[in-house]
Amino acid sequence: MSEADNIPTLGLSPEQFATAFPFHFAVDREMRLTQLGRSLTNVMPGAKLGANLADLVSIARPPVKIEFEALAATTKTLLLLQVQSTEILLRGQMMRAGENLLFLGSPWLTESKDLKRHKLTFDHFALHDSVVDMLQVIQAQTMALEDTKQLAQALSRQKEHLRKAKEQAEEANRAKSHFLAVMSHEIRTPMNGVLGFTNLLLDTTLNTDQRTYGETIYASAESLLELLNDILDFSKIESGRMEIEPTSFDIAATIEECLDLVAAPAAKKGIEVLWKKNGQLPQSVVGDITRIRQVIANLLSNAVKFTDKGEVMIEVLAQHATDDAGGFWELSFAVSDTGIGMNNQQIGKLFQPFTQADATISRRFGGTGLGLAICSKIVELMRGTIQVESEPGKGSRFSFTIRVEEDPQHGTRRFRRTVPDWGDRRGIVIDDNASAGTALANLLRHWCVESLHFNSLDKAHDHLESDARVDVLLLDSTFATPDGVLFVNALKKRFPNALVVLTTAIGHESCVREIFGGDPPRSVSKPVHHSQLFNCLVECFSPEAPDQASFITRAPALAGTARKPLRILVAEDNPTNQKLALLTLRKMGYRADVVANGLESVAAVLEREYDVVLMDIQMPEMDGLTATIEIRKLQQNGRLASGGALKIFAMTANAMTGDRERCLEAGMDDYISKPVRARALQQLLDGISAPPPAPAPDSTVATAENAIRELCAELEPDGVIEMADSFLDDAQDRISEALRYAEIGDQENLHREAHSLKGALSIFRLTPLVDLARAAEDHAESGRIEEAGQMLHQISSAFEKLKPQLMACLDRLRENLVNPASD
Amino acid sequence: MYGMVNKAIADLVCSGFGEDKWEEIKAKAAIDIDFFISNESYPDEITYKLVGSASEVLGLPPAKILEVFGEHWVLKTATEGYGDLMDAGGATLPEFLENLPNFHTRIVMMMPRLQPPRFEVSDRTNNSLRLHYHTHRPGLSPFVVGLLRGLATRFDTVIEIKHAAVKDAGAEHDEFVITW
Ligand code: HEM
Repeated sequence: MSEADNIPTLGLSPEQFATAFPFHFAVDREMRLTQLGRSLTNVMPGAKLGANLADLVSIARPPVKIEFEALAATTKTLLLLQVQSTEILLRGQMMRAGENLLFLGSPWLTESKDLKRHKLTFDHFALHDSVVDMLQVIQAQTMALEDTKQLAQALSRQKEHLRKAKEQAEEANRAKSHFLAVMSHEIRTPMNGVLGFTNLLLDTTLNTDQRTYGETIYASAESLLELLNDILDFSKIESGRMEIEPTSFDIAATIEECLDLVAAPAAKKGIEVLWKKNGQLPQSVVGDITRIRQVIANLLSNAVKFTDKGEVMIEVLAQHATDDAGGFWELSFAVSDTGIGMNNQQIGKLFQPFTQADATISRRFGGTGLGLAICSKIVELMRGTIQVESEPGKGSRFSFTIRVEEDPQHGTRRFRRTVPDWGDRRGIVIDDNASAGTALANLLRHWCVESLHFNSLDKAHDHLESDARVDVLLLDSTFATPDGVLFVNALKKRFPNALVVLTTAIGHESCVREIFGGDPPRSVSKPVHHSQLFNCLVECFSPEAPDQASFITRAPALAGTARKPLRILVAEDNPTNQKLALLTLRKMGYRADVVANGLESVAAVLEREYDVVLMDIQMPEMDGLTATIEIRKLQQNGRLASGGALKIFAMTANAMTGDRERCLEAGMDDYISKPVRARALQQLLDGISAPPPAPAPDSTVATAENAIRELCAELEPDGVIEMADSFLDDAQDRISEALRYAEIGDQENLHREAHSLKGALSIFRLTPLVDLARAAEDHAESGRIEEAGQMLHQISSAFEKLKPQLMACLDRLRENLVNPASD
Repeated sequence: MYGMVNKAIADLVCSGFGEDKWEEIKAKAAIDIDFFISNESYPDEITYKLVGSASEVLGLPPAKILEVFGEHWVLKTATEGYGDLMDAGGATLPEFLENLPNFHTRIVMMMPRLQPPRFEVSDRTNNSLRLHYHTHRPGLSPFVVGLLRGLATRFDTVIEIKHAAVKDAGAEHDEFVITW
């Protein structure tokens, strides 16, 4: 601050000037400081009156010398002064005031910390000076930058967090999968024990209660295993480990196999299961038959489960299409039922794992609620989707379309059976179920047999009366009544060459046979396999046709007669395939145990005695070949539960050359291709010598007891029991008598004896023995005395086993029915 | 209020009580904002809600929370983020208080949506002054007390604060007599 007289103050008072320009200074012609602002020394340390400006600053811009005239010429230029020995820039302008030059400006700061560095406060600045405010704006920007940095850090932390969480989740998921695999193994092994021993138990002499308990144990253990399989399947899908394994297969056959799986439960509930081709199907396609079968079987079994009356129908349509990769087939399946149906809310939850349409359903019908979730994933894997339409109380319809490849061997060729030219043929279908009847009539028409459907015998009778011709009669087994027999006889009388086929629900076979007596018509079991029915027509109308298949003849031949009581183990990982194998064996009269992999099969033969192992080749945990090698080793060391011979047969889907050799090398006895066909299986098993006759066949006594109860309800209980008693007394004698005829080769008496034995046995519905007796009778009739004798021996030993139980049963009945207890 | 205020509350709670508590407070106040942006204006309601639920979660009366927050604001937030400006505000407590009327005026220039308080100084003596606090926001006088205590700590000066006029009790504005 200066008090000099000539101070230039631009018309302001000295105080006002000092406040307005705290950083100003003035110099004279010699460049000596003549006046300084109050804050100047803060930014220009050596500044004092009389000091030379050239010693204190240099001119950064514009390039001028520190001389009066030169500086005086810059009045129109922005001036930057660099204070020596500091980094401070002074920003401002020069003004001429007489013999003085006046510098008006302030320090140019770019960072707010410069304030502190130069010990400046707001007070050092003029209020109008915006440098300080600019510093604050810069500060605000720094804050924003700081925010951004913090956000970026938070983001990295979050990412790290998520990565760890993901790792943990994956680890947990791996642990879960491992746990599941271990657990399933741990659970399955003892469960196989439960099933195996229950099976053995059921083959021993049991009373009705014990048998019911045993069967309940078996069923419960089976459903536990099913649940386990569902969970495993699902976890496989979840972890992306389910793969599609394509092989070539026949769609129609696959559907019919699935129909077989639900035939028994459907028959029990009295509902019809129908199937319909919408157009021709390709002869063969390439896809994952096992998984496709699994989906169809699941949908069918749900449909049967949730339907109490009416019918379940599966339809299929095949369409050929092409894309860049070549030709493929689009297969559309639809399973509809007339069951309880669902509302929209229930449909919404349908495909979510672990939820069933509602909780009461799982209580009523059981199940994990995983089935449909699994199905929809499988279908997705095959590039399709499942759709549902449903109406409560009316029924549901599940449909799905999948893509399968062309079979290079067959291409787009469709399956077209050439219908032999059998002229003008007429048929009638008698079925009380309209859909079933119409479907069968349509099927016959499709094969050039003009057909009508009637839902009662009376209507069919009227038709006959109207002089119509009938070459084919399809009669539903509900009409296996005395009236039905009369109708058939009447028809046969008029058209002796007519083909009569009974369509028989599972479980009705023996009563059908009984009611028709000596000469029962052919029968095909429901749901009707198209090929089976077709074969009947071919056999009857053009027996010389080359396409003649032997399907139909199989059923009666297999029905228990050839049954050798073998102990069979099936090792197969896919549940649907397991069921199929079991079903086939059961139809042939065998009971078998099932395990799901090679390890389990080894455990099973260590624990229980088996005569035969049917071994899948590809299985998880341990494949079939390794398991066989393992089992053979154990056998050599005498460690197997069974001391006798053990046959191991391979089952495999893709029959490749070299497979057979590898199987034999591993120690297997033979080889059968999947899906297992009854005939091929029968041939294999026939080659095995039977161990000593088995104890009482399953549930025979219970059936006999029911038969006697029914008779008692119709007739005098005393009389019935007495008759049964005397039958038990002298049956053995009659068997011996028949055997004696066999020995002396008296064919005629042998035949008569066998026939009457069969009659007596069938009164008490001792079905397996009836079957044996019928076989004996057949053998005797065609002069195969020795075979007839063998049958009789079997009857004899089986009867010996049964007799004590039958007697106990009679005692019970006598007490209950003849002298009812006083309760 | 600008995000920096809410951020400072977050900072105070997190450093003193842990992040979980902060999440709890936010959840209780039903405020689903993960990060407050310093230079963004938020509704005052958010700040009031945060103080309210902090009081519940931490079991302290709101006035106490505001006071602590005032101290924290001066000693941590302002010092760390705006230390140089704080320094430029004055080298001693009286000097700083004298500059206070200009302080937020300058801040308005960088935060155009600011609705800052207005301070006035009167009755300056050698060892005291009367600080007039004008605001349109209710209930923040404990915050001012906290701020003043923070400033005293900052300048290492022992002070006495007398709440000489109380707006909540009917005065036109709040007045504090500060003696050092
Ligand atoms: C660098 C330092 C400071 C900055 C950046 C700053 C900034 C702010 C901001 C952004 C607000 C919110 C107002 C709005 O968003 O509308 C605020 C409010 C407030 N400030 Fe400051 N401030 C600072 C220092 C101070 C100091 C030292 C005091 C006083 C002693 C103070 C007293 C207040 C008060 C009492 C409020 C509450 C709002 C009201 O009463 O209406 N501030 N400040």
